[in-house]
Amino acid sequence: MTAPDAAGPTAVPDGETARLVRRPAVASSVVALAAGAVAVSLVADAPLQREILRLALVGVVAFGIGGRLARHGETALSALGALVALGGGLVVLVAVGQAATQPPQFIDRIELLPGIVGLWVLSAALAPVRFRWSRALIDVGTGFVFLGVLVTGVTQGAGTVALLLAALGAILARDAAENAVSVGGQIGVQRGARTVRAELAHAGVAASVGVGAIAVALGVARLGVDGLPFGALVALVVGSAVLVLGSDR
Amino acid sequence: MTPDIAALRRWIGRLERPERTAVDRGPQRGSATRTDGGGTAEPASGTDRPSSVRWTGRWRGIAAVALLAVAIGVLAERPSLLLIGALAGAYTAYPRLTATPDPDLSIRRELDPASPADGERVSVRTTITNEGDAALADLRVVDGTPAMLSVSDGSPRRATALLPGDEATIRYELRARPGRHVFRPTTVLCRDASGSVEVERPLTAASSFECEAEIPTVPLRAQSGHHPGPLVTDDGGEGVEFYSVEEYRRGDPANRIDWRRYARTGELTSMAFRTERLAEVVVCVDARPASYRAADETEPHAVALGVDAADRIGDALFDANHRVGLAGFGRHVSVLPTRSGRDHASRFHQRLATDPAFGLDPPETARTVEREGGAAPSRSVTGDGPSGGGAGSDETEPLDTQLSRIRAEFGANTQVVLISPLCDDEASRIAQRFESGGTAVTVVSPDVTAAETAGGRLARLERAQRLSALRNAGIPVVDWTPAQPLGAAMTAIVERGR
Repeated sequence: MTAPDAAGPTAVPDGETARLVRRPAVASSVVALAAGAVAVSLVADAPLQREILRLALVGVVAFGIGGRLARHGETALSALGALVALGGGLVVLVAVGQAATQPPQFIDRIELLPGIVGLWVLSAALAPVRFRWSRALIDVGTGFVFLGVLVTGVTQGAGTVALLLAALGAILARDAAENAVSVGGQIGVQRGARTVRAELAHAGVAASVGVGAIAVALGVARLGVDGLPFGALVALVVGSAVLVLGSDR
Repeated sequence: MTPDIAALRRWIGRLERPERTAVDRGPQRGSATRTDGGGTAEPASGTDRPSSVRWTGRWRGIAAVALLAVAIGVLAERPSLLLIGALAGAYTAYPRLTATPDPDLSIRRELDPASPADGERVSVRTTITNEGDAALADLRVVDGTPAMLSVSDGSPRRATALLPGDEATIRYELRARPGRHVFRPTTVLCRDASGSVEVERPLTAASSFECEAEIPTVPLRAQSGHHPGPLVTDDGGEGVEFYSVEEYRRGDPANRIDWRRYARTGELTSMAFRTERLAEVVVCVDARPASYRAADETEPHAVALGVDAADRIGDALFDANHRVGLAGFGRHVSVLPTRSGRDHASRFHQRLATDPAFGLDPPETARTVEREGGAAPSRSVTGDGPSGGGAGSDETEPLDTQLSRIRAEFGANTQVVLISPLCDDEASRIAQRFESGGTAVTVVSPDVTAAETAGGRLARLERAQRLSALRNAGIPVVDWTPAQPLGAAMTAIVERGR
């Protein structure tokens, strides 16, 4: 067995060329999946939802790791990886089925379902199923996670802080996943290509910006924005968004 | 990427290309002096070097997300969704909070051993130091490995974050091949913390090393000429090596009459020897865009291999006192008439090293396109050289004109050593066109096909068919696997020819 690491690239036998291996970078991929999982678990806070989510997460992680292994150079390992990915996919399907049927209330189901599907698609993007599809799959996957957050916001299934943190998780998941693809495409994940420091720095700065923004938003909310007419608040938020949009970058 | 940014980038590309060529080519290939491998340092502050700025569009969609959250919040009257809108709005502003990085970096490179033997591993340590006052959040470095060498261990690529004064070291090993190897400029991609803007900049640490090259035996085709020389032909006449015995005809020189046989039998016979002639050889390199193929991104592409082979074939031919010319076609055409002598030999090597026709930088079209928010790929993405030859691609002559310019240089006794990877049918057609024009052609073909994918196996099969088609047409082909020394491949065909 020449592979030191399940998710790692092919070890290079002596005398052969070290090839450039293009896959989403590992550290950012892990950060992205973790952020996505946190986002979903924050909005799905009922005990039954959490239970289903745990099952789904096991499946999603197995799917991701199995997918990585399946693209491994060695036949035995890739066969094992394909099996693990298949098993993980089945577990996710079971979880999806449970999420669609078991929670007694309809809103509990629609809070959870997009999140599970989104995480699955995200792990497919980062495995990757196919490197060229990664960015599209990331958009779809994190879009589903964010959809779950919006639905929860409408159903008022979670508190304001939890909702904000969940939205932050979805945004961070997309940023980290995009970064994983970008680093993995330019630097690669072959042995010897060290990228962890840059990836973690990127994710850390993005997270701190989000945390700061949440603090400001909550602070403003505490100031008694409730007293303002709702329409004025809307106008403010829309106005600021348009301002920022106008400065194209 | 929106069209205007694409246009801007093309414009920037046009602006910087001639300059970049001037910066990179000078120290890289032009000078014949060898800088010592043991740690050549050149502080390269970025200010005087061309760099390009790209927007990746990483956060472009976030404004739509913000507005979506606000819209739903308004429709459903949920203040918490408005707050989500505010959070997403903050990320819309995020790329504007970070400044476009202006990396001030220095680079030094250490090689061990400085002059390796063939096949030995050279360990390379490239250290990049942040000389500026600002922290670099996302720095991606692709070291410019020599075009001819492949990485045997480690990776010449690394991403890191550098605080002011920090340094990062890239360690990897190269497998030495014969020849002189010059490191290409290192590519540095520096992104701001938000990842929305990317600055690309080449950094040059001019280091090189030399590896003893063995001179191959070049299989020349028997072809008679007029000047006596070292090429042994199939013509009977004056010479050293016995060729045939013929019946005496009037006019045969008396010193070739086999007097012993005359004493024994009374028959007059004259002996013929193999005539030895001087060969006129044009070494011709196929550098069409289609030939910039490599078995893998970390392997040298076929034109780099071809130029290296031309260099060594030229050496061998000059050593044997042949008259040697040089030709290259592709994006540019270059013709050097056949001559012999030391001056001409150095002109030959000079031309091979500096002429744009033998440029080692692949054309834009030969690169794979990778989407980075729609941004076009940089050379770092594929690990190829900078796009030095791209500037002149607009004024490329048609191939036929190039070939006829080359053919115009051929004399009646010229033979051609055509170096081509035979990646497409056009290559074998060119060989056959030369041959049908009365010029003896020998094809030296570096094999750059790969067997990993179905497409690669198909390409290999097609190339094998081209080889056998050429051999059937009477053109000898040297099938050269780059891992094997060129001399061995050449010798194999010499033995086959006898």
